[in-house]
Amino acid sequence: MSRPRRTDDLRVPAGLLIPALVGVAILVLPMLGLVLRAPWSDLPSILTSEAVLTALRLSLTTATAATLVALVCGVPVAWLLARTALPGRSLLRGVVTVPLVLPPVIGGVALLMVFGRRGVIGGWMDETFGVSLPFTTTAVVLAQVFVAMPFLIVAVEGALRTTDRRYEDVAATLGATSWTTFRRVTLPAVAPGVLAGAVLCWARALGEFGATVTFAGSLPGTTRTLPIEAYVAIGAGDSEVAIVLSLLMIVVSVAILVGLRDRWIGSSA
Amino acid sequence: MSLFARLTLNRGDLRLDAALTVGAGEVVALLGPNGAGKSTLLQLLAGTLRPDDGRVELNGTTLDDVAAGSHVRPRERRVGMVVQDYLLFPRMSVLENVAFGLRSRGVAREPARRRAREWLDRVGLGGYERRRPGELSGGQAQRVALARALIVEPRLLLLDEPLAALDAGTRPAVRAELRRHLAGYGGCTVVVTHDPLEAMVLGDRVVVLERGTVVQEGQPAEVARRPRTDYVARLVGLNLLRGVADGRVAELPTGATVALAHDAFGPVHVAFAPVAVTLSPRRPEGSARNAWELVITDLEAHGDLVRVTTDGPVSVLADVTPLAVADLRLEPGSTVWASVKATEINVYPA
Repeated sequence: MSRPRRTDDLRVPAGLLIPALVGVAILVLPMLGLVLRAPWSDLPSILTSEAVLTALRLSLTTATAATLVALVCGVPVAWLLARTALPGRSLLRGVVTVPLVLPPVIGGVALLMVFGRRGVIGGWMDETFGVSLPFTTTAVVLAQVFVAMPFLIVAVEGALRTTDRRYEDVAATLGATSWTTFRRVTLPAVAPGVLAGAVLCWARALGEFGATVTFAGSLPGTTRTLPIEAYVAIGAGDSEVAIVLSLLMIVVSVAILVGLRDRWIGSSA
Repeated sequence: MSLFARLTLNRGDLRLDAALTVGAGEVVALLGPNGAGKSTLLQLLAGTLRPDDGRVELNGTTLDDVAAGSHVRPRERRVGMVVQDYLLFPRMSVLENVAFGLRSRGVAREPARRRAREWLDRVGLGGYERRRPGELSGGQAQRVALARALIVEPRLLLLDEPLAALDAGTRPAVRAELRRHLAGYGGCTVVVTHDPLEAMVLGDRVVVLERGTVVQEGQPAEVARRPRTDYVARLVGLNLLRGVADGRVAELPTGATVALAHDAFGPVHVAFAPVAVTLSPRRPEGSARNAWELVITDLEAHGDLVRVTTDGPVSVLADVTPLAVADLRLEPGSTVWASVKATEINVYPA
């Protein structure tokens, strides 16, 4: 439906217009800078270089593994938060969502304190099994799960809260156990929310830097993911590689935003 | 097979305190206004809500006993449920919906599907197996929901406004068919409704719930003839007055009196149909011995008659023809004499 156009539509007060322009510039200029300075002619060779391909492969596999772990563990956490009357549930929700606001580096330090060679669990694992987590690919995945799983939990809990619980009541009167009800009734109903949460989680895991570099370090082929590769490149003065990697990640991020647009942004358009 | 329930629950504004008995094969229509606690009572029977106090017993098995601390979970109660919006699982086919209860109880896929097909045939939906719930009409969805509930042979069937979501055109046919299915079901049935016609057609017995309490119960004809509350009287379309009878006359709290055709004593209900009320400009003479001078407060089309609401020493509804409205120049605020023959009045103990 088109409404009659108001004549004063474009009369934006300067007090709003100027800060708005500055805000948009802060968001857009860096990306524009990347595009302008991109070594377009060298792009194919940089993208197919051994270091970049290795980092890309590592990033894709670790982000995917982290998302799978987050799905397996995060969906049940969301269910606990949305469906049970656990004592201290709001505390649990707070704890679970802390990584959303925590600086990732702090997350990495915390992971070291627990899983490091002298950590609470890490020391015991080292002594008992001779297994050490830090500076392994597993550590990369763990750091990504720590940072990205809250996104999935929040999305799935929201989806669970908006579903009609009477379907679950009907399933129960039909004789379904709570596990059957979850599997056959609840999960299909929240599938779109789970999918959206998983995509968001994957994107966050793919971009993870702080916790990863602190907890897993920067070993080529083992823990050096795309963002770390970009950071290393810029530190080594190799800005062209850094720019290409950055563009690559921007493309992935934008693709995800476009893919999810209908879920979050599209409704008001 | 029978259900016995005595339950109390305080939740928000609702104070539910009701007893309900349903015999084997009996259909009890639970009638009441919105917010009376009908659906809450069903949830308590289904076990999805737990009572503050009380007992539920089904075929001699205790489902709830708050004093003894026992509560049987919904899935172990053998209670079937069909609700107003049917709640068919949207991502399953019709066949999977109907087979769900059997599958949940450990029946293998093929036997469960075979039985589900039989049930779909029985409710007249053979050939709809692969449809999705979203592709069904309201009446079809209701039949699927009924088949889904009945396939596990529940001992108690709970129907919450099963016809409310249907349009007026399809409702009579679906109601008649539901009546037929319920007649063939051997367990106890409770149908919640706010529609008196539904209650009268579907129920072997009607239980009226108001503000969480059972205010009247009986055979449908009994409830229709002898309403005990204003709500029921309005539903069945009768005027209801309360008074104290002494022989052939009953005195109302306002001091007005009602002449009766038969002797009655003590607190009574006085009921008569709006069509039995005659309106006239002057005090009538003759056999219509009850006459009150009243003020008209409202006029409203009611079928091909006009329903006149009046107020005064008694407050009565009168159904008159549009011609009478024109002849008598009836309008809100005008004064009129309302009269009822004593023989048109039904008197029964309060």
